[in-house]
Amino acid sequence: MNKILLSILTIGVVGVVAVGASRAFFTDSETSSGNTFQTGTLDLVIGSQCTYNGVASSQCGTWTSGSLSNEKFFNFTDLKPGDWGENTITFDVTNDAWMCANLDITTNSDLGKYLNVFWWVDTNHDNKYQTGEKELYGGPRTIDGWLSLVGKTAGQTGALPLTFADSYLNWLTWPGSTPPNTTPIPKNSSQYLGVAWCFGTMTLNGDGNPGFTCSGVGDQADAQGDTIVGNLNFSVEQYRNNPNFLCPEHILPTPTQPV
Amino acid sequence: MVRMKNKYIIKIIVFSCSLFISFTLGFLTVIFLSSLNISSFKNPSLTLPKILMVESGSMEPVIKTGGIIVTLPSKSYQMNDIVTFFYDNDEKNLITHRIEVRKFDRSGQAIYLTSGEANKTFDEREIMDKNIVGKVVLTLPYLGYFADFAKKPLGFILLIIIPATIIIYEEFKNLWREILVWINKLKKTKLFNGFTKKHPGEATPATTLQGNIHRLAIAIPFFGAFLLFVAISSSYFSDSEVSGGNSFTAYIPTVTPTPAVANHIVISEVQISGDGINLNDDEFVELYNPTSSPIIMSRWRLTRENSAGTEANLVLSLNGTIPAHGYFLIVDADGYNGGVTRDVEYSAPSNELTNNYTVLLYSDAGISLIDKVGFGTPSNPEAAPFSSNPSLSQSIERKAYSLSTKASMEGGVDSVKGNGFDSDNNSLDFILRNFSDPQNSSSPIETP
Repeated sequence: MNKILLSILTIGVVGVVAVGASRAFFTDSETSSGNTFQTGTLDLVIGSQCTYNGVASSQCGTWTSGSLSNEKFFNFTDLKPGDWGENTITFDVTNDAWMCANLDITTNSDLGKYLNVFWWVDTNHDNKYQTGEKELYGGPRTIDGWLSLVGKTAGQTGALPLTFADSYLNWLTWPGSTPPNTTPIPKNSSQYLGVAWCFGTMTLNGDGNPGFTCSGVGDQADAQGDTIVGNLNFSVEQYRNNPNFLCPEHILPTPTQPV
Repeated sequence: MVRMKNKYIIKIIVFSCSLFISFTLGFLTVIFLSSLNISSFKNPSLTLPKILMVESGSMEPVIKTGGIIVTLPSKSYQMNDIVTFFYDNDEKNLITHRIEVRKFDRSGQAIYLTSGEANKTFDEREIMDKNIVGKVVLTLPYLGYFADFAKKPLGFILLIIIPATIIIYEEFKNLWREILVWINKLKKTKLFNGFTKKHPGEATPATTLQGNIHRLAIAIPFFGAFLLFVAISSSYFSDSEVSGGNSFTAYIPTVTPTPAVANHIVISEVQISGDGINLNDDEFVELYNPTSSPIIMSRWRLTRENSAGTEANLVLSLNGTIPAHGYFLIVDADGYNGGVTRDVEYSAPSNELTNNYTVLLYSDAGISLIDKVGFGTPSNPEAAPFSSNPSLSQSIERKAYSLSTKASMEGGVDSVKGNGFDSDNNSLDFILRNFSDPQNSSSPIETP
């Protein structure tokens, strides 16, 4: 008699568990999604190649890709009006990733009125801006102009959050899709960001030599001896299982069509 | 007969009750397993442990990819706790990372900064208690791979359906045998004697079951179902790289440091007081052109700075030509009565020089500094000041060469060799003359 009861109990419990599990398996996509594991790590390595007035210089950073320790993209001590330069920064990630940047200006001065900065995707990584390469964030602006996007007035310091790729927008593939964006920065595929600067008036022409003009005409005497110091921080976050990632407080100046 | 009937009813009741209990137990098991799933997080009062598999390796080596973790809700969390949390209201995307920093906002709420182990950089966003699902109390490596297998069709069939089917089939066999045994027992009673005679060949089933699987085997489908309901935690990877201290500095036009004779106009002699007839008697500033070409000064500027650092013009717009290796004399017209004719006089005589001043020469309206000399304890000397203030009728004069001395400059071998030595250090470049020696653009040139 006990054995009969035990058998009935076993059949009942196992049956209900099997039926319950089956119901969950066939109805709950979360339970039955069949995930794969992501092995390896997410590592961001950064390289840089620079020019100053069109030639290599020890005052800006040129190094092969790696994790950063004390490398500086820019370390100019003696800028004169009309000086210009360019860094092409190389990014590699070991897994698909979202990417954000933060430009933190820690010292600003009258030079902030005259120092123009321009970001673009240097697709052919030749350190020059050609027609067809994507200009980012609406073209050149002065340091003060960039900081005005986060509500700073001329000469103030501040941090400028920049988005390269998040679930809203991917500048590297833009304007391939309208937001929301589902394309991360692909793993093991170098991406090239061009950063050009000019002490004076910067005008894009896309001629690839170097793609803009820099005019030092005008009175910039109040900037003599002035210094701007900033930190540039790039961060990546994994893409897998993280489809809704947004860069913190990202700014989105009106996108500009590639020239 | 009545006793037998009662016994029969009791058995039916027991049979029904056991069916009811078994199904209730089964349902409770399924509900418990479901509670392991994420849906139960919506009920914060439920403090059941949550079981999660870790999909990626940002917490390696502490939690390996494919591990299973057990998290337990807690009232508060400490630094170094490994916690499972979500951002915003995105409760489906669970992240397991370590708390690196705990701080408090103005209202006293805890704010946590988290990071993975593999990349020791802080996660982009801060979290609060309401974001945290629980603290990791147990880590089981590799079990996540089984869980992942259980969630796929093949794994689901192998780990749950087939074991469950085998067990149910075997148990039905057992049940049938037991029922036969029971029926045989009943046959032996008076009521069923006739039937027993009709079926004499009916064997009495063995009371010990053969081919029966071990009852512990029911653990297999239970384990499979348990794995099926394990939720997912991602433990996101992140990494960041900083290039700090990038700087852009605009140039300051400065005198090119030249250890020997200068390649530009220099301030060659300064007198601040003379024969005592007037207030600023015989005050002058003499310039020297050490180069082999005449230099035209157009809208240059001569200023002075007092010991407090206040700058004022001596000559607002300095114009004139200094011959190659020649001199140029700028005087305070209020008091200068020397024999050597001035080239230019101060445009602001009231800004006259006195002790502890610096004299500055610009090649434009006060931006491009050409030369400066400070004496006594001035505010703005070139490197170090010339330590003596010139007294009545004395002057400070620039050396001709680095080894020139007071004697060689005052009537000695260097007295007609110009005043071109400039190491950009006032304390080394000048001597004190007992009697001044002003020279103007008409004076004989002196070639170094």
